[in-house]
Amino acid sequence: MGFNFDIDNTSSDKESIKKYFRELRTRLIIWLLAGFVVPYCALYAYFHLQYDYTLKKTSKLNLTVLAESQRNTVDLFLQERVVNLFNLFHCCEFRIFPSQEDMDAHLQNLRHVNSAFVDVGFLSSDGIHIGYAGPFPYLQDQDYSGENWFKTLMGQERNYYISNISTGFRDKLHFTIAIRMMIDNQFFIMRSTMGTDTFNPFMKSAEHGREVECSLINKEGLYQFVSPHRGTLLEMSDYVPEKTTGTGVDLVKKNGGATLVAYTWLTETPWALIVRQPLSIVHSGMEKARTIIISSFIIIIIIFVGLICFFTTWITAKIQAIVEKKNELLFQLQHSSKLASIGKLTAEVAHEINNPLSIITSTSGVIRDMLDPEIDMDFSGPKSIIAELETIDKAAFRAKNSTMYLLEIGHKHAPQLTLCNVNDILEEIMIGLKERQFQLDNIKVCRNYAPDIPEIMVDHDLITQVLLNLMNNAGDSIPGPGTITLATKHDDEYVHISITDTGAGMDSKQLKEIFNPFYTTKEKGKGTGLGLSLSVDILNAMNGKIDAQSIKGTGSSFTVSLPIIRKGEENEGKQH
Amino acid sequence: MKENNINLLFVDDEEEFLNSMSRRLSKRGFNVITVNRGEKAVTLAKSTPFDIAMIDMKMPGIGGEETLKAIKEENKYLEAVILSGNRFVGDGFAPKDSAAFLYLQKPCELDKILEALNKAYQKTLLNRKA
Repeated sequence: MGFNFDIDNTSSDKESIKKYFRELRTRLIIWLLAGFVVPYCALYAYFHLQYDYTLKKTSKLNLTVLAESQRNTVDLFLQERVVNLFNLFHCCEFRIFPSQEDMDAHLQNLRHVNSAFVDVGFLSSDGIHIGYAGPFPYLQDQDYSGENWFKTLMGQERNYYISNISTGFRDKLHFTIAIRMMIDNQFFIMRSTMGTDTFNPFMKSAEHGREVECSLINKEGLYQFVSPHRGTLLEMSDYVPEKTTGTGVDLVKKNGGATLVAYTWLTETPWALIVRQPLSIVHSGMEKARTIIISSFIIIIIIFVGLICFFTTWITAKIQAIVEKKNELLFQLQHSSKLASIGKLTAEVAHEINNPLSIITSTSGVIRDMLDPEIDMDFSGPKSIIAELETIDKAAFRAKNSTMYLLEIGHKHAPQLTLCNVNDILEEIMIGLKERQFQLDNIKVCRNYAPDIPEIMVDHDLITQVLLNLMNNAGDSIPGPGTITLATKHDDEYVHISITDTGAGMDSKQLKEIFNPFYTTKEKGKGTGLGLSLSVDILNAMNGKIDAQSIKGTGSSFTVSLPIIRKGEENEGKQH
Repeated sequence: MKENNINLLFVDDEEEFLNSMSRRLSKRGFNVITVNRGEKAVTLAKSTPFDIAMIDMKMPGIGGEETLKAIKEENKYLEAVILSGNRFVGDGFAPKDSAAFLYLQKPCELDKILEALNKAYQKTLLNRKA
């Protein structure tokens, strides 16, 4: 089948409608989803990032604030201890050469203020331990002049010094607070050691909950205070801040996970207070919020995708049903149009058969009258009977012409391209029926055929259908006497067949509509308005075309153009 | 059979039918005048007082109904039979909008035509009396 206009072939039509709507639905869903989901995702991503950024910043700030408050506590604690030591110079027990009782009293005073004081010692400016009270009595008379802390204290402007943690002259880790005092132009030094558990209470207070962990390191990065599970004292810290002053916050990633670290340098001694908090804890609130947001986001997306899919499917199904119903209706109308044209044809053919039949019966009646002696019909022997029989034969063959034509028009078969001469097709239609029909309607037919018209590859019956339809239209448009001109001509590409009538004509508005299905200028019941639209389909399938020109009140001219396809090019033409 | 001849105007564009039918009818008591066009029939009706007419429905020029209407304007008592080649209604009385008395479907048996023509003639006579 080279053509696709066959109106009976509705199953393939239904398939193509289904396919079209499947594709339409897919496209609609994709575009609606893209139109909704993409902006929604972008908006969501933007807010999420903003939220993330703000929260991270806030949590860093929180940790920094915590570190600074801890540092202030530590600084304050150290300042208080320094002041405690200075106070010893001013108490009543103070003597430049203290007795053991004096020193014991000093220690007692100190421990009364704070139990972190382990011992107390009193040194002369040359670094000799001239008084001591505490658990290490062998430190009495010890020479500290070579010790770092002593050298620093004597060399610096500040009159107190807080040492790093060390074992010193004993085998227990401690740190030393030493102060110097000018008495009679001579320096005297009061020193006391503090145990390593000094910071425990207030460091731990910050740690409870939220897995915050505090530690102290010195300039070299060695722990001065640390939680036992992180490390041991004087061990190298796993984190050493780059800066040696001020405050900062860092994100440290280790195999165990990421940790947020805030540090701040003490004012009293070059130690840094370090606060660690695992990132998972820092962000636990955020993670929770994020989980809620993401799940709500996914739920919304699912709801929208579901709604879009559902409504698109629903709407396209609705439209598809309407289109299918419309197509069914169109098919029925095309069918009724066919029936209508068959009806018109039948009436014409009936007339053209009944007239010869009436001639036959009346002429045979004449013969019967001739042979009836009762009737005095002129009778001059067999000759007169033969003359009547010839009239009968003539009429019979005239009737046969009409039935042949009817058979040809009604014959339905797969479209078949054959070499045809359009002049011959026009003549077949005219001789078969139309000429007499036009004559009855007082329509004169003028022929203006090009004698050298090339033969073209067309479906004979379909072209006949198209041309017959045009001739019917031309005939119908002429109310009284008129003329129909049939003309053929050709150029290099096309054969043109024009059918021109002197009928009612159409205005430009009507002319624009005539190829639309169901448009008709004929009165109700006379035309279905499908003839020209079907003709357009037929001609399109053969790569032909149809043009109309008309002047209201003067007449119309329809020109059918068919491509000249010679043998050999036939296959090319069929592919369309 | 040669009682008082009925004047019959027979109009049909089929010359052969006109010829054979008029020959048969003239042997059956009709005075048949044949014409092959409605216009000619109208002209003829002006000068000839026909009793009845038998007219073909479809003809070049003016058709059967129109011809009959024009004739009836000249001869108001005249009744007519219209012959048709493609009416589906069949034989019998003409529809109300028709000027004819009876309709006959072509082809038609002679007896039916005679019966119809006689009925038409009786109607004409009635018309004249009334």
